[in-house]
Amino acid sequence: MATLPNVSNQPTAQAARKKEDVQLVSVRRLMWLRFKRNRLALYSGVFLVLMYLAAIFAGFIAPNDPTKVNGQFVSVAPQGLHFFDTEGDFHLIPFAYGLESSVDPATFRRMVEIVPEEKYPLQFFIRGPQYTILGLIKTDIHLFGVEEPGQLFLFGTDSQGRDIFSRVWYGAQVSLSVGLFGVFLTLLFGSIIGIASGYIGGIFDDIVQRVIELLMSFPQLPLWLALAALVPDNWPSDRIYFAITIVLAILSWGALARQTRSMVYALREADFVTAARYSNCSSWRIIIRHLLPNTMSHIIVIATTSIPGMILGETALSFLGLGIRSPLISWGLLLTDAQHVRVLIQQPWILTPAIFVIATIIAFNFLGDGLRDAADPFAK
Amino acid sequence: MTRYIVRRLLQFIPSLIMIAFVGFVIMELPPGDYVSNYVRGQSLSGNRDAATQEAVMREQFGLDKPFLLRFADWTFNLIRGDFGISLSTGTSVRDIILSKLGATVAVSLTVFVLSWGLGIALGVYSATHQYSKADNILTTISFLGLGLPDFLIALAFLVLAWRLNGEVLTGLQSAEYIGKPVSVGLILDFLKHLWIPVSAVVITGMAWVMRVMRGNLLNELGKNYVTALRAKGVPEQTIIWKHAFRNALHPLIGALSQTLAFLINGFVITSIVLDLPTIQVTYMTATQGQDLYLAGTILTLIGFLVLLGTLVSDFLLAWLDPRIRFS
Amino acid sequence: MFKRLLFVVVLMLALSSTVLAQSAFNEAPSLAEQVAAGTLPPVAERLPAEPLVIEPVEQVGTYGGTWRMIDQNNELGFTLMTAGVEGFLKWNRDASGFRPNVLEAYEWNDDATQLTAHMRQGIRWSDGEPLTVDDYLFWWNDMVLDENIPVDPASGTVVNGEQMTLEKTDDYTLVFTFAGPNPLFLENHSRGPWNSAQSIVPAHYMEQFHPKYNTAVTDTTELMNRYNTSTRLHYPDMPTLGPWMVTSYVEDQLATLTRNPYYWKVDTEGNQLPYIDNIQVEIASGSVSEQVTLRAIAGELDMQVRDIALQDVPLILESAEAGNYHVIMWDRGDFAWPWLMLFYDLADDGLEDLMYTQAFRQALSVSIDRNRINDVTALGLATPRQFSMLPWAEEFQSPEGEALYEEWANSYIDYNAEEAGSLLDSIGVVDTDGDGFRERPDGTPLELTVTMFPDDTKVSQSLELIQQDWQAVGIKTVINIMTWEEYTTANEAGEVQIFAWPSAAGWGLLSAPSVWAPVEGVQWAMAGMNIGQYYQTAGAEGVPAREGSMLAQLQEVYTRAVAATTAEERNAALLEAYRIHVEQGPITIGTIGQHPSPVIVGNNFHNVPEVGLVASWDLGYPGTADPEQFYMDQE
Repeated sequence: MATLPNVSNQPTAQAARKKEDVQLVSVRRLMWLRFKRNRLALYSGVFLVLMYLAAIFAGFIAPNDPTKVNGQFVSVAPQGLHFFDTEGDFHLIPFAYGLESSVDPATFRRMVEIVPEEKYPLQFFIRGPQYTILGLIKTDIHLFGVEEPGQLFLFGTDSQGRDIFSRVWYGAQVSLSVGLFGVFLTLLFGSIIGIASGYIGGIFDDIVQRVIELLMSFPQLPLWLALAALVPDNWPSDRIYFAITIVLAILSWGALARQTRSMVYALREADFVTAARYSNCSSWRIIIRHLLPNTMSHIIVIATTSIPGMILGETALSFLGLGIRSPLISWGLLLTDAQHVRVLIQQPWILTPAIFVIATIIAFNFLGDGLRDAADPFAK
Repeated sequence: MTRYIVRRLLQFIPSLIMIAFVGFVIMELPPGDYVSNYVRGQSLSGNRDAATQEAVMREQFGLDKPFLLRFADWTFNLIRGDFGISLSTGTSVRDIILSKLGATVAVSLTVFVLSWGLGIALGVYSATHQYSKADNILTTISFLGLGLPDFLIALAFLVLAWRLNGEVLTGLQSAEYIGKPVSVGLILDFLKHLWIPVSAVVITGMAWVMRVMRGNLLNELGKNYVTALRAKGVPEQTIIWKHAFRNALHPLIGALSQTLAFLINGFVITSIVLDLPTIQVTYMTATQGQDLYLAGTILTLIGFLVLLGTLVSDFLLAWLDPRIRFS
Repeated sequence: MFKRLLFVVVLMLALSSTVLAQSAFNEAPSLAEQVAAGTLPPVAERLPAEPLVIEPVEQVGTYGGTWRMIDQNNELGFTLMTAGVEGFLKWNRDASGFRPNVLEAYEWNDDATQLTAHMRQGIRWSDGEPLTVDDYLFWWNDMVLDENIPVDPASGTVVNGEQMTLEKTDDYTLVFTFAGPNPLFLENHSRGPWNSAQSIVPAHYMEQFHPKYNTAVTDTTELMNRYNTSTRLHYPDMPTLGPWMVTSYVEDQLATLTRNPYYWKVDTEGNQLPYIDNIQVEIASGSVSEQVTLRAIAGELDMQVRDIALQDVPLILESAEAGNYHVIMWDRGDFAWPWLMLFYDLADDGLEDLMYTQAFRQALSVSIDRNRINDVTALGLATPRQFSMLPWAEEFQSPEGEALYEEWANSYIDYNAEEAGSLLDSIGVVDTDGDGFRERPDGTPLELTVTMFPDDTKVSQSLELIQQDWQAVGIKTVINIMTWEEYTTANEAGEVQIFAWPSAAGWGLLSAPSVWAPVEGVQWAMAGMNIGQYYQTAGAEGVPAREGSMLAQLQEVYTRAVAATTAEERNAALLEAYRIHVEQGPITIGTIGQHPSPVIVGNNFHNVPEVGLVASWDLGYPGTADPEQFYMDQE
């Protein structure tokens, strides 16, 4: 019986396929390919990169000076940009209305009314308050804004009349970097010490465990409190910032070390480790070349989940009045301002920074998930 | 095995003394002490005579004695069960802690059971139904939970609860039930107050457990032995629960060491915001006011619970994983 | 003739009916029940023969009700100020002077060195035991003079370094003898929940905790716990003279008070006070103002005086209808919050010279934008004012006094940066190196450090604004935070230049004279502890004020004011001192003061006066407002 020829099995077809499909793909490229497949993680990564960029260029993006106190615009609701004016006319370039403030005599509440005649059109690359980028470049050009005496309060103002929109971006500078530096320190200490401790065992392990226990048996928040209370109040704000970062890191490296150690405990008896030992690999080499890659994915997950922890930790410290202090701005400080009944009921716009905190943390978590999935390219 | 346990228990003692010592030192480091805080507060509210009492008060509280002497005194009394007195109220520290232990454990235990129970269960479900709709929803909820600070939710819940049923539910009991003997009404009232802190904290606590569980289980399910088991025809449920799950629990067990301490030390800010009569709040107030013996005792208690928790978690690890041997 | 007789008869009838009406006292129904059950003596036996008559603010009230309020912490300060302000005298309701309280009458001798005090006869403690001078003598002899008990003599009891001596004439009469004139002793000794309110102790109760009377007692902890105002409300068995007594106390949670059946005051119709049956005090911890706000707008507070954040006022006012309450604006009675205390004894001589220079201080004062501070930190509700005593003080109650007050309170408060600049130019404080900041006359850099205590948001916010203001006129300013201890040490070393204090009440000689004259070596003494210490120790310690300077003049006038035996003399001396402040000032700089203090009053809660001064506990509000005559509607 005649069968149709199976073209795909003929030698020429096979050879052709061989040339196209088979490539040497490095592990790293595999990881990247897997990572790209996870849309959520990819978008989160992009989002975070944008956030960090925005933080670096906070001065450029923010139309106002975040520390400028406006006595007459205290606790003002968001005053945005309008395309249509009060008479229903359309303006191609959106504008902000002039604002007039008054006090309600019955409740002493600040009321702000728009002055329909005064329109301040949106301008790009406008000159505004001076700022520096990364402490190096001084300039006063802002991405957008309105001319004086117009006011642009996209997210409203806080109880001191400061523009929340601007404060969010300046706050990002501190909060995002605290997370990054803190986690970097944590990773450095935690993973290496944890793995070493788990692998070497014995007295070294005992000592390290005692130290970690000592560190971790302190209740986290009160230890933060105690350590942060040690930071003298009269240090300049940037020194306080670094001290707080270190304080946050001191407490978390122990946790990472413990978890890595418990994983290593399990791996220690694994065959490939035994094999490496029998091949005369030094302990150090075993740690770096064999144990570390195998625990890598877990370390990465922990790292990316720690960053949010740091951000939240900074929030908690600020709430207690330790941590970042005025006139520095951080998301923690902004959230502390929101921690009032009057905000929840009357001035909900002061809660806007919470959205950024949540979004950033969610993004870090998706990213961490994606990285973890990608870091183990041979998993399903 | 017994020798190991005894060895570990004995190691508690120097650790605890170290913890207490460091704790006391940290509390003494900021300038001033309880008396100067008290005098400042009184002077600022107009009590002109407080400043003249400063030296006398210090003597009365024994705060003029050198630090090491005070610490040694306190350690010796600790063995006898005398934990000192709270400088601000004069009540014995032991009485204070005991009176709050019940409420603290009740809230913390509920939070723990719910967070871990829900977290583990939902984490397993999420991992086994990866990328399904339910998984995505659960993942989003868990991320939300991770991103929200619990004290912010607590305040929001409080205001929400008030809007919904017209009662302000701060603390754990309404005024008419405080200090009264247990009754059905009291329990119902307690539950009514309890759900606010519990839900605020469980949302954030469960999220973490769920994520780690999901991540670990996914990891395990990708491993070779799972493929091997599947190839052998072992039913999926057995693979999950009898094999992968136990391995996935490892890092969580490691975290368990903190849990015992969490019982009297977790969700501090939420407790403060909601004015719960728990030990956490007492500890914060004591530390901020430099109420030395109260803060020091609670600190040591927490330290003890951490050490105990570590011991328990190490045993659980060993029980779970036959590959672990104690060196 | 007949008409006269008729007149007399009618008069006698009227008199006898009032006498009859007064001799029939009324009591609360809950007490009447106990009397009927035989557990309590009848009201006529519980009250003194002539109880103190309190006139209600609005009208005679009805018995009953539970007053719900919140207190900040276990020290129960607010509760103490409600139920524990029963001293020898009591402030008038509008703080314009004093009225008799536990004392019925008193006489001074001619040179104000000897006081004869007559206690009201028949007052009983809340457990029924009679109050006599022995109770006060127990405090003096067995607590103050007893070396084993850590109690110091209260202010006013020591004159010229010598303690007073007490002599008991009879159970209700006491003679105080001082080493020098002490005409304001009783007023001093009747401020707030301290002083005599604290030192009139129930001797029959305290004896059981005193080692001298009870050999089983080994240390003084129990005794001191019941004596100290921050803990004495924790003991339900301790007798009190106040309108309510504590019946239960659960730490960190709740304190309950109920009426004192032996309370010795009645209203104008002979009803035994208080009207309100119980007080339920919820003990907050942590964020007390949030709890107060939430409970207030939920309508769960009946009357709340303290711990209401000014920032929450709009929300509280808007919810008043829904919460069924109204808000009365009392006053903090503060002369400024913050007030900037300038130091005149500095290790830095050049800066000290500048401080003594009036133009420098004037410049500092007029460069502060007080309206902005007002808007930002106080909702615009406070009053920009210079540091000055408060208008209700006795010495200002004359045309001359009023005029002086107006001048003083308004001096150098108009925001004028140009004037500041020219004032600074005139003394040689100019910017010589073009860095935007002015240098001292000798060319060295000028930097002012303003110090504050931690944990005071309002002060730190205000200081940030002041820093911006001063830097705008070219004075480099640094804000520094110190704890009490650090501050004390730095103060003595001349290291503090300017200190920002939170609000305090200001009352001539009665409230901390050291705020307007450098006469005591205490932390809040103006110009620095050392200058006040020099005066207090008559030159033995401390640093003298510069000869002929306004500080030296103030010290001299103070001496005269304190020695004055008549009110006229005293007021004249005080006005003279204040005039020095006006003419040579500002010596201490004020920002904004007289902050309103909202009081939440339920709509069913009555007899709360419109005037109250709450910042300083010295003034004893709400106790001074006679809370025993507050009442609640009963449906």
